[in-house]
Amino acid sequence: MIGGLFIYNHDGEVLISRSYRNGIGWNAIDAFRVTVIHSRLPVRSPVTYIAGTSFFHIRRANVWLAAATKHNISATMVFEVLYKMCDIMTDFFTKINEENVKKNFVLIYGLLDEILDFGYPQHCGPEELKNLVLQHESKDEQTQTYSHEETGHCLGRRDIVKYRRNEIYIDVLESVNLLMSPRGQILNVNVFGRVVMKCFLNGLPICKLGINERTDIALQETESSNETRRRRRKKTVTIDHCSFHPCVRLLAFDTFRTIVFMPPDGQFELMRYRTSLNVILPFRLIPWVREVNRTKVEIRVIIKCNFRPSLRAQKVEIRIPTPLNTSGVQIMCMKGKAKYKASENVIVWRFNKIAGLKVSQCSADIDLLPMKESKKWVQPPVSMSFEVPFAPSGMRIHYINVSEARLNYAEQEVIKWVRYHGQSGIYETRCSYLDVNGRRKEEPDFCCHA
Amino acid sequence: MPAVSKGDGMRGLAVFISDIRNCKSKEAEIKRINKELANIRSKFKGDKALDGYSKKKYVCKLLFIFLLGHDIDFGHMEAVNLLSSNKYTEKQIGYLFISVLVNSNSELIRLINNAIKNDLASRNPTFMCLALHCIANVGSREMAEAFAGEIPRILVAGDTMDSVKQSAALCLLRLYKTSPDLVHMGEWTSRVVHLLNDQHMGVVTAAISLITCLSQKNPEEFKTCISLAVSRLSRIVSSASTDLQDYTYYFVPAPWLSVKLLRLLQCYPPPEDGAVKGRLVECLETILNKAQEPPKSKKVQHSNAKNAILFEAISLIIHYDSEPNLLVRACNQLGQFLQHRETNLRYLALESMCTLASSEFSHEAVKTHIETVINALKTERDVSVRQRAADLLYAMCDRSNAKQIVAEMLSYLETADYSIREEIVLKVAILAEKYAVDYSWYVDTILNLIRIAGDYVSEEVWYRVIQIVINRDDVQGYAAKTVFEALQAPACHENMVKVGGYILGEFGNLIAGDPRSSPLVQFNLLHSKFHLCSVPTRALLLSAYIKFINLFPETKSTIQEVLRSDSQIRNSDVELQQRAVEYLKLSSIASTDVLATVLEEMPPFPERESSILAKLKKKKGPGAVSVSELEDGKKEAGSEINGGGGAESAAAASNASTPSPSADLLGLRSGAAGIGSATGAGSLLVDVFSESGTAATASSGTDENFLRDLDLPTESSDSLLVDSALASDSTPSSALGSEDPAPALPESDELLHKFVCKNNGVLFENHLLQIGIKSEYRQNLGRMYLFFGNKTSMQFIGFSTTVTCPGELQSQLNIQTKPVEPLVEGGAQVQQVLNIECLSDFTEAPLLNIRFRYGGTLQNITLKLPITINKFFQPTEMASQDFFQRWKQLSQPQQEAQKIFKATHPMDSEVLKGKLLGLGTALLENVDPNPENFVCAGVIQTKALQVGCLLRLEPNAQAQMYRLTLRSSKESVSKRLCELVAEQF
Repeated sequence: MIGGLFIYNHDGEVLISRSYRNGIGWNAIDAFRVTVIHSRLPVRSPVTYIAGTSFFHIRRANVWLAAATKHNISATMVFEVLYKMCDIMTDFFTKINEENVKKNFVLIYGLLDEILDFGYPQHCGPEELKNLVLQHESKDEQTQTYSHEETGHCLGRRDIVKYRRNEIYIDVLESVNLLMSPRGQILNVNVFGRVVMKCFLNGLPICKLGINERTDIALQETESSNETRRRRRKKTVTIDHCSFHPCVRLLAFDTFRTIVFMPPDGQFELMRYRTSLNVILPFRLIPWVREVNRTKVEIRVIIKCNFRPSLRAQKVEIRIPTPLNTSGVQIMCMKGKAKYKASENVIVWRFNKIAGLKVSQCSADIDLLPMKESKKWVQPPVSMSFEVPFAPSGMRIHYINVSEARLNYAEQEVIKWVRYHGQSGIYETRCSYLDVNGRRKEEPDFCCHA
Repeated sequence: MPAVSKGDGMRGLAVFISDIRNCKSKEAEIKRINKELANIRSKFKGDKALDGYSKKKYVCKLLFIFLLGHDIDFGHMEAVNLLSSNKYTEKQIGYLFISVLVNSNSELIRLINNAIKNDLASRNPTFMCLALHCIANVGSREMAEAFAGEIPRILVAGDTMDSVKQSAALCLLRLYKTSPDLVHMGEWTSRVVHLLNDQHMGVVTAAISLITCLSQKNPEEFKTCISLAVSRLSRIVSSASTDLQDYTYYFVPAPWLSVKLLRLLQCYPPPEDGAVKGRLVECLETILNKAQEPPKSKKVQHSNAKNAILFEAISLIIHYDSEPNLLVRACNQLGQFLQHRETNLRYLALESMCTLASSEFSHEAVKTHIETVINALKTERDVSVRQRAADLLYAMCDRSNAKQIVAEMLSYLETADYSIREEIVLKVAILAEKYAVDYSWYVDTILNLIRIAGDYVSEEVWYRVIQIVINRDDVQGYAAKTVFEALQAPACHENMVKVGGYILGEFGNLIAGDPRSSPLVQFNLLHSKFHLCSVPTRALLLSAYIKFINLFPETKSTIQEVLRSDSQIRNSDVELQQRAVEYLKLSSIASTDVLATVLEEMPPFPERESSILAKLKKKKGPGAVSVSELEDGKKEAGSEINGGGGAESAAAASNASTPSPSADLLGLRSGAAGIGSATGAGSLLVDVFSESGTAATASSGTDENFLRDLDLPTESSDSLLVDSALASDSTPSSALGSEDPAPALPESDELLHKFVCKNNGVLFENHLLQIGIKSEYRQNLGRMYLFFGNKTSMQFIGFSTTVTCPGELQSQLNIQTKPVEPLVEGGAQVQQVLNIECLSDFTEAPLLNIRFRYGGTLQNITLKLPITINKFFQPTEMASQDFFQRWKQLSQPQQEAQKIFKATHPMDSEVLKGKLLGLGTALLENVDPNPENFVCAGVIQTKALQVGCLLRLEPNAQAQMYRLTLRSSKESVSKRLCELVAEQF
């Protein structure tokens, strides 16, 4: 039960205040302002407990969103509501900032009335809210379906015929996190993925989505020959954990492992998932650090692209940390552009585009300033960021069937678009150290300050 | 940015700083700093040499970055290079960097010292000043080692500029404070003292700080400064306000210098030379006169400066404590301030008066202000001032006004601040006790105290009431009556219930005659409070009930009923339950005679230092109370003031080492007499009291000059410690201080017998030391481990142990030891190994002497080491006939030793067996026809010979007697063994 929801600007002025329960009033608003927004030290914890009231806050640009409660409620639930609130607001007025909040305050109050009822979360989908909340022109017919939607049977969908063509867009968006040891062992890897859909379908369609998950029963139905089955099985993906949009019929998933749903109109996030097995690493980095003497260090980084040559990665950027007593850097690289950024103590090596199976190398000679006291400095790992046009988890959409009972449009009439997009999360490789003779060492011993 | 001349302006630095200031976020600032650091690194690394200007600029930037809170690990070398520059600004930046960033153990310090040396030798005053400032700022030991010899020379050299002299004096002061052992004034002393005559006031001001500090350490060497200081002071005081030009501050001539001069004079007793003294008195009078003059300016700075001098003069007067005229004038002056508008002045006046009150000359004068002070206590808005007022009331209290003051304090207590309530409660309790004319007043006061501020009455206070009531017969009846009346209030504090329970339990019979306070009424009154009290109080009440049964047999059935109720006898608290059960049984089983013996009236408490006073001292720290207490002690010593405290004075008089038998109710004197035994840290203050001469000046000195105290807090407390240590050393009563080993403890024989049958255990234990033993023997050799454990938290100094073999034992026993560590840390344990060789049989035990210093007192303990002849037993197994054959062989009368003795321990055969085995002999089963008897055999191994021994022990269970027979081939062995073994059963 959220007691109240407040939006502050950066100076601590209250832009929006909606209180749902007794006991959360102006003094709570002030208490949060004084202890969190105006606090001298930056407040790191997103949850603050002030005199019997808990505050949960997030920041977007120069705007603070805070929820307050006097009860012991699930913090994750509150944050989910706050993040949903942000999504909804961006959906309604593109960007959250002080001006937009001020401009749309009537709308926001309307939204808050629908999102939470007596402090309990009700509707968090932008599309369904669009039906509930008046935006500029009024619509009469919505009252009829209102009660229907309240019961949650067909979320955010009305029986409409308005699209000239029936279209459906599916985006598979993934981000890869990696930590690799100097010897190339994977210490930690995982992929966080989302399947986002955009539906422009008439009527009340039922969709059925097939993915290459290992326990996918739908696979067996379509499989004919042993040969393909083996090949397919190779390419299946093991999902550690996934969650679905409320429109997905969980019963069907539990029994038949098929994803059956009636999509809401417009854009929505169908599912989220996380995997950590059989991840295809798009890039392999091999960094070497060799100390020549007390005042000279040589760093060499090799990058290998590990995907089909027909694909191209974009916005590839590799950040190579330099010792803190660097006094000069000479860089040579075969491809791309490399630059020493003194303000962040890194060498940044960039490619606009790089095709699959390419190998490239960058080396840097670093001059060091001898330090008064020698302190151990452990080089942070080399990190990189990229975007690739495939799903590193190996996730594939096998099919999507659309069936509409009333309009009964043919399967072929539906135009389907699928896009895969992978990008880096925290993608790091630790350096291996060589001594003067090129032998591998466990730890560096050049003198730097930490 | 302030306008800077072109040559000095560092544009790069200004740009950098404004960049940093313009940074929107912390991250942006760090980025900018990283960029700048990279830039500076590349510049310092660069192949071409930097010119002085850019070096200065970059060092400045590094300094700025450091001050922003980032680590700087380079640039030190460049800063040191700047020192050798000839430009003032570059040198200045170099020194600045070094004094901020270079830590004292850097390897660069040698280079820096060299540069400083060059500057000191340069004869350029600005460079010399820079160097001196750097030395003072770093102030490390290395600096002191390098320059402590140099600086006095600069200070007294004739051709040194005034500004350099000032810097040199202050620099030397700093070095002296960090490492006093390295600064030797020696031959410079007189020339430094003569700096007081310097023309330049700045030099005098700087020098006087140095001299004050130095003279506190060695007053004798700097004694000559008194007359110089007095003449200087009189010149300043008598000068017209315009004479001193730059050093006149708001019409007051040289206030800082005057204050420092007055403070310097406080390091010394009054000058002996009449002329000097006359001049000084004249000065002080002038200062007091000036305070009466109308102010020359309305500015607050004028009055502040004037009052600063005045207060310092007053504390000097108090310090001298010899000019009644001046003291009274000072007191009057302070009296005027008591009603001043300024809160600070009122505070200071009260505080100074507190010390004035302890002087015998001005005590009466202070007492005239009692009304004002009481008024201040009641109406003052500032709590700290009220606190001082309470302190002053406490200090000015004596027999004549005690009643008034205690009454005022009690009435103030009802409205007093929570923070000072406890202290006031303690003060009231002490005053009431100290100046009690009649004890009914005392009892009334304390009971009032408990009633008004029960929560703040600590345990010590009500313990003390009970102690006094019990020790004084004449007040017991009154106390019982008052307590009874006080308890009748519907709500009374738990402390009151405690006092009530105790007193009625002891002396309820004294008021039982009155039908209104008949035994049953008393009991019902107490029991009505029972359920509201905490567990310890209930336990106390239960004890009071059982005492009631003894005092009034008619209440027995009622009380037994109460004890028998489930809420008592089945109480969940173990203590209460146990008491209820035991008291119930005691009351029902024991006869009245037994009951009367068990529950006899408590014997008088031994006199000791008032626990309340100790508590107050603990609260305020040493010094705060000690002055007034001391003065009280002084005044009361010899004169019988406190209305015939029979028991106390008797106790005090019986204590031979008491300097003067006094009837001090607080038992200060008897506390001081117990100095020899008092070793804990808590008794330090008591020790100080005993040294009424030197310690008095020491403690009053520290008290009055609390400002100086702030400068050197450790020193003054050190001196207190040293004093007390000396005091306890020099006291004749501390016989333990002598160097001869003390005679063996009387209980050491007993300790010895404890170890006849066992090899390991605790040999000795007192409140300081524990000695554990672990030993093993093989044939005629043995090894003993001694463990000395320090049970205190303080270290033992000079810890040493010696083992001696008295008399002929030297030829019988050979003991080798290694010396132990002389320092035993608090809570630590040291180990010592003894190697023992038995040459021939022996009877005596070797002596172990332990000596160490604990808290200044020498401890000297002598013990007997548990090495007995039986330790060298080798068990011998033999059959029945063998035994009797040998038994018969040893049938000569001198070979046998027999003893018949009564059992001291229960006759348990298992225990007996264990003991006999512990003896080292073999226990022979099935040898003696009577299975009750024990038979043992063994051979004692010495280097010279082996002695076979046979033992027979015949217990007689009915008579609880033993017969012990020992036969051995040597007479002395038989006898000694017989003695040893007989002690064991």
